Amino acid sequence: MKTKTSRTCALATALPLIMAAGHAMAGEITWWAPEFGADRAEELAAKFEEQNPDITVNVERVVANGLQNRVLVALQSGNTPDLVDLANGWTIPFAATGGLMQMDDLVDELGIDMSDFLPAAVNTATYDGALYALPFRAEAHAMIYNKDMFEAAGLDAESPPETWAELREAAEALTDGNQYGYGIAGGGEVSNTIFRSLPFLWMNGGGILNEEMTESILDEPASIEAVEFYTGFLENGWAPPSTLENDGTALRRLFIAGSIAMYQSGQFDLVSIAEENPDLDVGTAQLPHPDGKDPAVILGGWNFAIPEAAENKEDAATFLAFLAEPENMGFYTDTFPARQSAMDMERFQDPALAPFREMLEYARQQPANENWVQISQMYFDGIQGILVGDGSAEEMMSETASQIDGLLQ
Amino acid sequence: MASRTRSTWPIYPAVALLVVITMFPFLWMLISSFKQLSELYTVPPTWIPVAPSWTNYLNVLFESNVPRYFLNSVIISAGSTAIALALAILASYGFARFKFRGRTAAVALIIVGQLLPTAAIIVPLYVVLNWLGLLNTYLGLILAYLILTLPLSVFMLISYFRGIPVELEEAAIVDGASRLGVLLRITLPLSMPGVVAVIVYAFVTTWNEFIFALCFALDSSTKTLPIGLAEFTTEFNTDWGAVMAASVVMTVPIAILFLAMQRLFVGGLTAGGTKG
Amino acid sequence: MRVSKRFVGPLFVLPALFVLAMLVFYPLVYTFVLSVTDPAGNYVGLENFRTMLDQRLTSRTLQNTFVYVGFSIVFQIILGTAVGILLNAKFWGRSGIRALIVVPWVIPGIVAATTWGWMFHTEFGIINYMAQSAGVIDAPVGWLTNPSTVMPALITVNVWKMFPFVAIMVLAGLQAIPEDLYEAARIDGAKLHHEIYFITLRHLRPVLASLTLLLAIWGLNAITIIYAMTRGGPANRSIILPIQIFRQAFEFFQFNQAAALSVMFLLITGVLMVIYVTVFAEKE
Repeated sequence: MKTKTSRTCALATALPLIMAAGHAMAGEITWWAPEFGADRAEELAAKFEEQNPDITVNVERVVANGLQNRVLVALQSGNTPDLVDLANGWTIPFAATGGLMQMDDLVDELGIDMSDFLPAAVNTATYDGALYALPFRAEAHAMIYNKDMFEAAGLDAESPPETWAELREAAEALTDGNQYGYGIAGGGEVSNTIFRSLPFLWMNGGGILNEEMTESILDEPASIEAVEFYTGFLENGWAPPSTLENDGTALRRLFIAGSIAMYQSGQFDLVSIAEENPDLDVGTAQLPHPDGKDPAVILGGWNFAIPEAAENKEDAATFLAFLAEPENMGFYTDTFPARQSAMDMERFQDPALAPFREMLEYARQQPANENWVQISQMYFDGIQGILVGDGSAEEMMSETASQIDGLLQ
Repeated sequence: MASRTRSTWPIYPAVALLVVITMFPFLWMLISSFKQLSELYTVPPTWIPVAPSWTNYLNVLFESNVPRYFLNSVIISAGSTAIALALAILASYGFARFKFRGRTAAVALIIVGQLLPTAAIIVPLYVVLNWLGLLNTYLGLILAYLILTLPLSVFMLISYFRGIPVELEEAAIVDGASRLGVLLRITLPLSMPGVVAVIVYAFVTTWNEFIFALCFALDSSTKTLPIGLAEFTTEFNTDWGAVMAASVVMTVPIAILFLAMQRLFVGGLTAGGTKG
Repeated sequence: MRVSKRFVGPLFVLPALFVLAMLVFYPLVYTFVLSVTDPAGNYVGLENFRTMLDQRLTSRTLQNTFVYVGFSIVFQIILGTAVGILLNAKFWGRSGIRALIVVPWVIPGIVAATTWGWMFHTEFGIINYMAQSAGVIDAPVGWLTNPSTVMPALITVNVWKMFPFVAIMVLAGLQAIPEDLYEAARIDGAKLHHEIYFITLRHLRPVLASLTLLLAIWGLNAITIIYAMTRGGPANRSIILPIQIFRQAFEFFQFNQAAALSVMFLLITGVLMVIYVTVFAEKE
């Protein structure tokens, strides 16, 4: 199997035109921060500049949509920022291209205590045994539900479903006319469906890839059963007919509009729900699991990385150390901080957040395979195939498994 | 005389239907832009906003980078349109009026330019712009947009120039005018509808372009409006009201521009030329 | 001093060619090089082509691409020509209407896609609401998620977006038709459809021919509408070639395979163009 490192070398030799950006100067660093956190990024930059008058931080607000492509293009051309926020799922593929700076020594030098970081988050930044990014944000999905609807359906709003069987019962009881029991994702970006369905496969002992990542286990009974459980919500009419166009945002909208009673999402949804429909009585709970088994969930989050081609790595490192301080990390994150010591901050103590925090204990990283994006696309196509009625879960997943195997050999 | 004109009443229902079909999505966009988020997601949808609000517009105009992106869009679109027009006028005249060696190859190159899938050329194009030091500059985007606008502009003008009788030019050439002079003084004024079409086409294409801008404009000094529109789509919260308001803000100037061009467009200069 | 006549034509053409060669020639050559090499830059022959053709997805993509582009062109030309002719007639408020109907073409593809996507929404979409109120459908239709409606819906948006352009071009073409021809025909007692067929369409033929070519090129190249509305879904029912290229390159990071797809894309479009130009040139 060819490695991505060789690809980058090839690009570098094939394109001798690559030049330095030219305008970056010592004492100046450029930071690509996604739009949704850019206001806080600017505040942090100002605070840092106060402490380090000889370094200027240019915060570049970047659109989260398409950011992955832009970072890729930047890494391949060598015209990069000095510091960039990466979703944890992209980190290893980017590290594999050789475009990110290896950080083990740097972290030692800066005295950042890696044992304080959530181990699963550190895994998302580790490639070939070396660290290529510094996790700053970590999150896991939990279940969000409408307490009033529970009561109207005669369910106990204080004891939400804990097992799959209970979830199905509740979903059925909560479905009534234009109101649907449980919203699942079947559209939008691939990751929406991965984040909401793969945990069920894991809980059941299944998954998309085996541990060694040498073949797909989607055609195994445990995986098929979990896929049937997930897609069954639409087949049974407990998920809205718009399922195939629903991503995370759409599910939240449906929840706010009172069209679905339960769905799965990250804690960031609680803020929007409270803003847009303050009257909604929202409950949160852990993800339901098969009877007698543990729940599971995908670890979401973001990491800081310094590109290998960065102009000003030295000052970027100084700034990174500043950002890694627990209070700054706790301030910057949209969800939870990757550093456990930052978890004590006031903003993470809301009781509604407790299930999200508990779910972090069951969080696993997505498989760190270099073909993961393509594999997850194939899996998503298979799930959509089931949802539109192209075939049964067993047929579609067997076919998907053989396609993935073709990619892995 | 009555036999020379046709009755016009069947035109009106057809026109009314046409207007409804073309304008409805735009109207719905406008209505949605005045709705608050909670009302956008209501069943059944409301035709008139219950609590109409300027919030979305205020957000777009004062709380975002949209005004700056607007300026960038104007500069880049105008610059690219001007260059495309100048190059296209010369090239189309060359193609329309002259036969020369390599002409077929030249046309082929232009067709290829039009056909090249955008997705396939972003990485090499990025490298070229980087090498020229034009990444994240107005000029870089202006040049990149020529790929999108120049080939078609050339084709559009070729067909217009061919529609203009050569005899008009020949008379002038006999009078001693140079070919460039003939082009500028005789052919071009007769081709105004075509020129206007090229302007509108090039301007709109560059105004609306998304993928190149996303890759080649790295910060707010060069980002264009479509990118600004996308910036409302934050990771977890799509602010549709603001997106709709920004869309209106983006659309109105272009509609006005078109309205202004309309007179030139329908002025019948071509008809006058062929009759004259 | 006068330039030798032989060089006048090339001189006019040269500046545009130079710019395009700079911006197109290098990327083009680079695309071909990528398509026959592996990530390490070694020559691998047609390996990348084989990999892509082995995927069942590719045949579906090709089929979708032809359906999407073909049907779009047919309806764009028909609707656009009809509207162009309509707008050439004299009626009250004509210039305002002419400007108004261009709005769909003027608004950005992303805006059009977003607005229509919003209108097509199963739960909150105005289209389902109106269709249900009118009794056309009983239950909400998932226009963009139902395998049998997704293509027609996307073609509708594409036609809606592009037919005004056809109409403008047709209108410009119509104004080049001398008014006397019509007057003469009317004096001879020609019916309206005779006028349209014998005078209007005859004169429009070159315009319509180049428009068809243009729409084919645009249709083949256009990503925005489908990408923004369905991302090629559901279950790849609406994926077209440029989206597969984009995905292969910028989502899967397989630049060489994407380049192979691009080359196939170029060959297909190239063949279509040659056929078209040949047929058109013979008629001329």
